[in-house]
Amino acid sequence: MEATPRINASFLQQFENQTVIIVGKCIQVRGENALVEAGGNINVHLSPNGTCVPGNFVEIVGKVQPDMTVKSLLTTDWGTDVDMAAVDAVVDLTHRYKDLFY
Amino acid sequence: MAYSNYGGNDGGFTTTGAYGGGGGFTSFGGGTQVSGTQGTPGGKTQKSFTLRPVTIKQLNDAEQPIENDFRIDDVEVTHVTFIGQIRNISPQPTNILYKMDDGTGTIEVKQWINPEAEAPKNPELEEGRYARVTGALKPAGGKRFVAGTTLRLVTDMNEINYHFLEAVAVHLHYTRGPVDQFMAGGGARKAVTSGVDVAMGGMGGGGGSGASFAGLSRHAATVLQFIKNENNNEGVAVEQISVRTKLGLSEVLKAKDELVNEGRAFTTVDENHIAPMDYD
Repeated sequence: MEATPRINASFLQQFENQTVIIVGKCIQVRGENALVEAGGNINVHLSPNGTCVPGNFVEIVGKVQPDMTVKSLLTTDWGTDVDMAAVDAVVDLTHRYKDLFY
Repeated sequence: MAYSNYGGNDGGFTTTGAYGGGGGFTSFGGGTQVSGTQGTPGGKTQKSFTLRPVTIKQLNDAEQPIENDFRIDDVEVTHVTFIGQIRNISPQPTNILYKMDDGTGTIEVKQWINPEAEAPKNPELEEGRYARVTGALKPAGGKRFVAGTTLRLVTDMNEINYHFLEAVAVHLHYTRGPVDQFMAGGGARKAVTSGVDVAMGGMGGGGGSGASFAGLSRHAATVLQFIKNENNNEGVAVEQISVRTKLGLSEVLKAKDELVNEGRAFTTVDENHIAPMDYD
């Protein structure tokens, strides 16, 4: 069974070709391309029914591509009231205490 | 960034916590004791009745030295709480089977249906949505599942992150000791006693540090420490406590009432003998 670690922009390289979870702020959407801010900017290819509402936070389950973009498999709108400090803390701890997460 | 009280619906599980950006944990409160705790008859191992926040990976990795006995971080665990995304819902004749995924792994949750009562309708729980699960970890052949007591839809997504922070905090509590051991006294205690204060006594493994006595008055803490040291399952007489702790009898009686009311101690042979609910 494969885990999908929670990451942000600074972990993209480390997780190339792996399925990950990213929570960030949706900055803009052009067609199926979205720009998401999560510890840095990440370009996301949205799946056909993917959601990314500019100004809202979004959770993306997706695969990190070799060009450091993310191909989304599943997106969930998290609304506007998201404590990004907690999101960053969870990403930090995920990789600090791997045994609990992946 | 302190957060408060989540999960009024799931069995009184209360949390307090703050995660300092770079400074690590400043405080946390752990699982509340689930009702049904009994004084342990002499000699037997303490059975853990705490409700522990976990990741699904921790459940799948939990050691199982004997059937029906699971251990995480070498601490016995029965009741757990976690948050996951519902991947699949399949109604069975006697239960509803949910497949939950929290990004660390997947596990099945069974919620039994009482045929007498009306089926537990929870139409909000749909595939793809996040739910807070509280239940007991159970073995099933070589696998394991969670017998779900409650499943509740997560409406504030922050709860997901707070849950993970809490799972890490409890893991660190068991593997590295209570927060107070690492803090220069005041800071940690202050954080613990502010706002929604949860006694950490239910966690076990306190090791006699200040953390086990959070939320207690000074006299109650003294008395609790004393009866823990006495290690007498028949209880200790209040007169004896008074003499040995050099507290007046009325102070000891007040402390006794406080400890009993807080669920930290119970009266034994009569109203004047008390024993602690758990030994560290």
